[in-house]
Amino acid sequence: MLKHKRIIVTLLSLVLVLSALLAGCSGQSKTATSTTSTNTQSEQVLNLNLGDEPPTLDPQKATDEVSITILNDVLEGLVRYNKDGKIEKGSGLAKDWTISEDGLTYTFYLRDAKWSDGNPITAYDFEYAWKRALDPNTGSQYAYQLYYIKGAEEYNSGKGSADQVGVKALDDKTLQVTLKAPAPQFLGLTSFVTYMPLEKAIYEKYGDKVGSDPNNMVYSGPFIVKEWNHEQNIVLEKNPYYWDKDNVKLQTINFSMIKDNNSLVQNYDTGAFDSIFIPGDYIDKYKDSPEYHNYALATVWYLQFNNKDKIFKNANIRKAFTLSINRELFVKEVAKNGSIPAEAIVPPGIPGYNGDFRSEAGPGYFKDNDVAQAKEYLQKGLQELGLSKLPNIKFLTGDTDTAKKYAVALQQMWNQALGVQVEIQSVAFKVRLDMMDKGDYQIVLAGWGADYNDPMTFLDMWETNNGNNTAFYSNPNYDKLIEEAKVNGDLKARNEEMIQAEKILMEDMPIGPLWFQARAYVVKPYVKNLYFPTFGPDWEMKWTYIEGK
Amino acid sequence: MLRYTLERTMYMIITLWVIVTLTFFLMHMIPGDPFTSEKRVPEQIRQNMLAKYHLDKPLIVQYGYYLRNLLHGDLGISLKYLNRTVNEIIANGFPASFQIGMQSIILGVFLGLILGIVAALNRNGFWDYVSMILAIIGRSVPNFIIATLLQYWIASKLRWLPVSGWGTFAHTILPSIALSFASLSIISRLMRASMLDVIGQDYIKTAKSKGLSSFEIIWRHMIRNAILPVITVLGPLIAGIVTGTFVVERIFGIPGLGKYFVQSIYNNDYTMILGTTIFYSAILVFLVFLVDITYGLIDPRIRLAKGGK
Repeated sequence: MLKHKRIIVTLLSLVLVLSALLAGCSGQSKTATSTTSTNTQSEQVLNLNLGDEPPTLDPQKATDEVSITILNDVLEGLVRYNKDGKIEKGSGLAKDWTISEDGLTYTFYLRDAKWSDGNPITAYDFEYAWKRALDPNTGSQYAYQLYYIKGAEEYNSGKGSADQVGVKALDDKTLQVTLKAPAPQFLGLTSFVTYMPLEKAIYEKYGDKVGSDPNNMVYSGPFIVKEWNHEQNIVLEKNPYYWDKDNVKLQTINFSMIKDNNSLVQNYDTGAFDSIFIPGDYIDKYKDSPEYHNYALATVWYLQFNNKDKIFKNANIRKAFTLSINRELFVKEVAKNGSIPAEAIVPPGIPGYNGDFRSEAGPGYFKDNDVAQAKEYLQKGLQELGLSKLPNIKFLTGDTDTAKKYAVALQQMWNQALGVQVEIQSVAFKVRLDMMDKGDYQIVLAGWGADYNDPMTFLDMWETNNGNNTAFYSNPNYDKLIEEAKVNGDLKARNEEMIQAEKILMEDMPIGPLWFQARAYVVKPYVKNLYFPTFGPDWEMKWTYIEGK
Repeated sequence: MLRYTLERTMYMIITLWVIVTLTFFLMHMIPGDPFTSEKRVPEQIRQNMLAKYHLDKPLIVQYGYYLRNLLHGDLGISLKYLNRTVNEIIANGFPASFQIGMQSIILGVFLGLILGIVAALNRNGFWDYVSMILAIIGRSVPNFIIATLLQYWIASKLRWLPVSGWGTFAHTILPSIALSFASLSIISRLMRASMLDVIGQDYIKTAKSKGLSSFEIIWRHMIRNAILPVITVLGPLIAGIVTGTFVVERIFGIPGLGKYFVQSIYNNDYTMILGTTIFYSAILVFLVFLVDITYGLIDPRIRLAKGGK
């Protein structure tokens, strides 16, 4: 036996030496990632997982969470949300602003700030970047985020010119913006990536290659991109030219791009990551740890009914399906991440007129798990449709493990409460979108996250001709309220109109709210001031520091 | 021989053209386009984007564009990674996949051969059973299970090696081992059978009766003859492993090409689907070609039968 052991050991070492030689030949000499935990006492280094490669760091083309997270660290717009998710004057590159009486003209006064190449950041850089986003030849997907500006939509659709767009640099430090209608969410939107400034010389040098490599960019935010090894890691470093650099304590942020849930968890346990979002299956593992936290995202999940379907055109049937779900049980036993049962559309935390919209409009419009009422609605609906019994229903959902798990839970609840047979159709992401667009479904599980910090982002999508209204819901009264609210300069009346609109929506129930999404994470105790915004970037790291590691 | 090689090269090009054409038209039948997303954008913006990437032209015109660029070696811009070309992405991702794949092949072949030889020489003995158990594990346990177990025990519990990541040799060890089991099992079984076949041959008896040392008999007469069938499976095996590293890359966070190959289809990233398909097909076709040429060199009967004079 001993001889055997020796042979194995010898062979293994031989093979490893051989492989080492081969590895040496292929010329890999990049820095090691995700194993950096040999830091001294107070070294200001944060290690996080980004989860994926950012598709692009071109601010006018980025649309996804990963890119937005990085861009929020390395670029800054006119405003930056503070630690509590609020906007205050002077929080971004604009040190002050004025808004005209009619709410249409915004004048921003820029602070003295520099790009990471030492050049001053001017109002012209903003005008240039915004017009670039709107230029049809740029092909920017999020150009519509600027459609609040006068002439923007026309220019982007090839019906107007760049000169007619309502954004103008009056001088180096003054930017004037004219909106087509009052929009209280506009200030917040100027913190969004599509609104980030761009240094003209840099764009003219790199063109479509802007943001493909750290050297093809200049930065205006708290950090700069030091290194970017595709599919591997991104290293950020403190920006020495940032105007508020005295309040930035982190020197380095290491982002890995681990996609596998099991690897993610093991990397946290071994200390390679300082904080991770907990994948669904691992919640129980951390739930009782002091490092466990969760927070509500500005995202609502709902059943979307096909309002053109021969069954679900009936409001009572839609209500029966909505009311028969036990949300309390679902979030506790299935989602398990601290999500909140939803009996309305606009998530808590979205501002209304004076405070929280949810508290102004009321917590909800129906009772959770109201099986008796649901059965009544079902009978009424069947009568109206002239049916004695519901045929089998098709429920469309995604092909991820989570989506399937959720679908099975809902399927069982419907079966128990209403005795209805529901068949799950689980398809790939783009196939699902295609089926929704074509109305080739009966019920689909869908979610919507805020684009900006205002109830309107959850409401105007249900207007008759909105491209996102794949429920094919149409109610002229609803459309009228939304259109009025959109141009109403009287913010109190506007808020009232949105409350009325949500009420109509819940009366007709083209969609049945299920839960407001929460996200669970673990963070090591030595990480301080790491903030988790409710929409947009995954983290806000400007004020983060390490203490007592 | 030259004519045979030329002929085979022609076939190779035709094969690749058929693959490109089929892939091109099939992928356009996938529902959706590269720019559909959960949040629908205004129609005008979609049109701007389609125009920017020439997706608004008729399909046959797009096909023409693509072939023309392909002849210049240009695989186009990725439609998901909007400012990176497919050429850049392949050049960036393939070396990692290649390194892991080759290390695992070397490990698998080396250990597989030794296990096969030892098993044959100890038929029904201890090492024969060890080799059989390893072969059964390698054939029946998927590499992602092995990968997860290695990651849990060696990296997370014992902390001998990094859990994941890339950059140093230590990062490559676990993924290489996880990937090597499949080739190890194939090679060891094949080598064992082939050795047993050779052991029964008359010339081994002759060698024994000549009084050669057993080392010399095994090395010069058995292994040399038995290894031929093993070499012929190497081509497809290498191609399979180098192109099939997706899951293991994902588990260990390796910046390889596997992800792009698989995900491009979900993203309707047309240029990336075509680029990676062409690239991998070219590798496969070329390895099959190499094996054919090798056959021809080793065994003249094959060359003749296929018309080479």
